[in-house]
Amino acid sequence: MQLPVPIDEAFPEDAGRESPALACVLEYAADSFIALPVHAGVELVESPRLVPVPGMAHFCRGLVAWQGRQLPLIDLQAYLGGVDAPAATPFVHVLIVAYQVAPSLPIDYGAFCAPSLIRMVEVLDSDQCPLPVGQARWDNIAISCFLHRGRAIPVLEPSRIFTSPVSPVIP
Amino acid sequence: MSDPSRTGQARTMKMRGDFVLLRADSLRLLLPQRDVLSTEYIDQAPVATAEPGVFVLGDQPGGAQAVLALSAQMELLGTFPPDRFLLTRFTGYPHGTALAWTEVRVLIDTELEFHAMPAVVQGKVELIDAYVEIDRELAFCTTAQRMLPETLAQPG
Repeated sequence: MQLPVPIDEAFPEDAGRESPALACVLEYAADSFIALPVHAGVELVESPRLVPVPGMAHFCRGLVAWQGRQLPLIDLQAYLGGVDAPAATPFVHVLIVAYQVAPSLPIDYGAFCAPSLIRMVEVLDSDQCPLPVGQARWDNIAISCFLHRGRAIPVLEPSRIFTSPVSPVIP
Repeated sequence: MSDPSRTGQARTMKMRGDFVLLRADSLRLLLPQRDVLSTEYIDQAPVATAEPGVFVLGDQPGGAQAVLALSAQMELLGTFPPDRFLLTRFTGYPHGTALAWTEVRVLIDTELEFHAMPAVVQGKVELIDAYVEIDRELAFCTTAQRMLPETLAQPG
């Protein structure tokens, strides 16, 4: 399934001469959003086969099969909220994301639980804002942040999540 | 079995060797054959003990044999499932606790493709090194030395 990507129309036509960039925005929990660089969101998959892994991290839901690979599926609500995070939001879709640890290394893939569909948002340089201050340690996993409809939306770098053995809120 | 997740750069590697595939419910574990000391049928009903999750077979030579049954997440089950009729003992634990399984398959001189478990999947205890695909289903790779201490340490 290709990404169903309505372009957010909140962007005014006379916003200035900056050329906007697209970001892929995911509501990973109620009223909680993250964004990904547009090239990182590869595909939205409905109800993929999921195999739980014994002893897996609390924020991991298992391995999902995708194009002959087994990808780690991360529940961002649990990842960002730590072991005390509320019960995971039910999800039907998973968002397949691509990342590259270094320019010389091959592209790798992972998956995030997607309780809602994905929205493409146009972002200007002038939308940039500080990372939210809260329980999540965005500094470790976010590369930027932008303001959209009054919300600060961190832009995640997936490689910082999928190559790390623990969530940022676990000491 | 060497540990593909720790052998360097390769995240996928083929290895030939002798393995044992253990199945309980949807749990499928692959261990080096040398880790499995013995396998036998359970020909009597395991009896629950005062310690939750621990059962005994009463008339084993040398005394009662403690038996555990695992869930798909490798947690101790409080009720002994009727489909667990095979018992394995493990090297290094000859008279210790044994585990009960639905199926035990020995794979002799078998080449398997091992995929290192992604780092982000690992919990605080790295129970699973890698996974393989056998009969179009995943089996998770571990060792007795990694599995048993963690299993025995579970609160009853």
